[in-house]
Amino acid sequence: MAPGLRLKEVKIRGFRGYGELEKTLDLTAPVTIIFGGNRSGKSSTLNALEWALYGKEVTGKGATGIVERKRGWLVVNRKCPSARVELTMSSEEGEIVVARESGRTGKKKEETFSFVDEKGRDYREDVDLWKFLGLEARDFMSLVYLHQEVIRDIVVSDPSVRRAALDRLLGVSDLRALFESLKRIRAKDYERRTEEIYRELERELGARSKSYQEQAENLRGRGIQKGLREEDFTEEMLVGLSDEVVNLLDSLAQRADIGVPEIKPLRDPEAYEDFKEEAKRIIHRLRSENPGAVSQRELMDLRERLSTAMAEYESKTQALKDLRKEKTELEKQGDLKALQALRNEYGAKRREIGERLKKINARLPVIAATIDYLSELEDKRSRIPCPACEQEIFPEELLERLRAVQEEIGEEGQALEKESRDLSEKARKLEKDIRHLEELVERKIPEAEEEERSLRESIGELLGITVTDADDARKLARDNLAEIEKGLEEARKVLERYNEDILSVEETLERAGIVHGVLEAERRIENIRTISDSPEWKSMNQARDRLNRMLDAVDRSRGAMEAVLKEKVRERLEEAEGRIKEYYRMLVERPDFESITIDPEDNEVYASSDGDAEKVVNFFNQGDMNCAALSIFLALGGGASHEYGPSFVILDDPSQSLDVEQKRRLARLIDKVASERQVLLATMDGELLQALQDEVAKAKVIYRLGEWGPQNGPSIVRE
Amino acid sequence: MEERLLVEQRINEIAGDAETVELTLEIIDEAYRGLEEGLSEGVFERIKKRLDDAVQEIEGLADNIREMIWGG
Repeated sequence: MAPGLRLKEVKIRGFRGYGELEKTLDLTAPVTIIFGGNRSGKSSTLNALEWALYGKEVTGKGATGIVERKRGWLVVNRKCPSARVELTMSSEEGEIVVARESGRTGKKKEETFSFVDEKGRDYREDVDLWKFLGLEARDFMSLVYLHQEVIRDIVVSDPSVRRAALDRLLGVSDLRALFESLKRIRAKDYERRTEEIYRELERELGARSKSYQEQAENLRGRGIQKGLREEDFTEEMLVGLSDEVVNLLDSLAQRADIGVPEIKPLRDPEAYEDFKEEAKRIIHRLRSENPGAVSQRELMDLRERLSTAMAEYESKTQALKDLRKEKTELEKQGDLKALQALRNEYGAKRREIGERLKKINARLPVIAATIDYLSELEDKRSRIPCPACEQEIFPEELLERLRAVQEEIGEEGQALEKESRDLSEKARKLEKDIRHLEELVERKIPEAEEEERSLRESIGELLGITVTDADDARKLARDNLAEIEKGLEEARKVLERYNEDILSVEETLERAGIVHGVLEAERRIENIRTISDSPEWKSMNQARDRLNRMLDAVDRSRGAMEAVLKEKVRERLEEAEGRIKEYYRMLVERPDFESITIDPEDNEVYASSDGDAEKVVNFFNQGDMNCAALSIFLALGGGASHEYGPSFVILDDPSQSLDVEQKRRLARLIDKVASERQVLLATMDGELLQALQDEVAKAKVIYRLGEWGPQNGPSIVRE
Repeated sequence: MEERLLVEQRINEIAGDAETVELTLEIIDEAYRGLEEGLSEGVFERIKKRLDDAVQEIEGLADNIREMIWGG
């Protein structure tokens, strides 16, 4: 932290009302006055210092300071590409230079910052400067930079704002923040949460205990139904029942001749679940692998296969019988050879008829042509030479004979044709019968006989014997099926007895399970009953004790901080009290209330006289209220109550609502303050300027801000 | 710093046994570290987290007890 920092110089370019041309203001004088009318740039000059030191903290969203006072506040002059402020301060150890620049590259806004301390160390982060100053933005606004909002904060605002402003003026902000934060910790919330955790846990434990109790009772009831007695729900009984299970399983395994792993007798009740699973595995094996079940499955399989084979055999036998019957029917007209001979006979006869028809058919056209020739002769009674053989013929006589012959052989031809058709029909039917008989004799009957033989052999194989043509396969199969049924009945009886024994094991195992369930539920009930003696419960109690001690420590810390806070506030107010009263008297002449004090309890500013005290906010006019705030600010601010940080105050338009006399008084007070701290003041008030010129004996510089131009900003004339 | 020493002095005066004093000083230390981090909100968050952690420890132990009863 830098003690006794003083202002030396500020260079401003493109910032707010300032133009492209850089302006330099020498600030080394004890009192520097910036005088000008509205919009002349005087507030911009003060803001330039504020911005150089705190940048976005006073202009950004949610910031305090400049933006708080006016919305839509622009840093860079619209006519300039960038804004730059360089502030030089000095201490006993050297110069401190702070420079901040803001501009635009295209659409991107860029800001650069540098701070060089009195030892020449260069910093680029704002926070390094604030640590160096020992002030954050809000502290700076309350301690160094007085404007109307600060006045309002000190005397008018609601208690929390007023207290915050006074805390900063008194330098106890950190202590207040610590105290308020610890005050926000509500021990009762934590105690309630802890109580809820315990209550919920105890409720759950109670419910669970009840549930186990019911479980135990239900199991006891089931156990009694299963033949257990009230006194049987013991570890000894559990072990006894488990031994019974082991013995029964061994016995069954031996009877069934199945090699199952030996089950270990139960000795530790906690191992019951494993014992039960192992027993169930063995029961499953005994049930599925015992010989009775295997025999039953095999007999049922043989019955199925034999029944099927027999059905097929019977069907095939019937089919063979039908084929043989067909053969017998066909052979009634002769055996195959006879039928084949008959077919040959039909063939010969049909050929003979064909020859005879051929001859008839050759003669008939000649006879017809001759009849036509003779019929066309005019003289049929005279002898004429035959046109074929030239022998003498009588046409009439020959014509008659030819007509008789034509009729005779015509009839013969028709009879032969009918006989030929009948023969063809007979031959076709005979041919069909011959083919059918050939099919039966040569293929169908031999094949059926082969299949019948094969099925007979299959039955023989199923029966385990050789079955020949001489045997009645059907009878053999039927007899065997009857034997199988007997075997199945026997297997079923054996299996029933075996399963009854397995059920007996299962029931014993179930009884053991019930006893185990009751013992387990009782064990859990006992666990719940004694849970508060467990290391876990004790750990939870210890954790609660730690929390309570911590809450106690928070309470003690809060108490200690409150005590120190009050002590510090009282101490600093006592230190400043004389100066506050002195400054107040210098500013205000009120015979009714000659003095003001700040109550450290409620942070109210009281006006007092002869033991009477009234809140100034209740009856002071605005001018007197401003004077009261100015007294407090000047008595405590700008390094008056701090050994570090700036040793200067900035006053922005401090004479609002003050009358001419009060302005003169203010000027005299500023002269007094200036003997310890620099005063940088901006005003548009000619009366105050005149008063300052008249009353301030310290070296002073007046900058008159005159005509303003968009390019060069305000014209500044130094006096 | 002077104020912190005063606070610690007060604690030594008003707190009882050594364990309580130590714990209270730890709270103070935690509070000041929170102040360095983020002013009053940082202080509150740090102390609150410490207390919340302690409550969570109790909740965790309660869960362990539930597990003991429920599980076995």
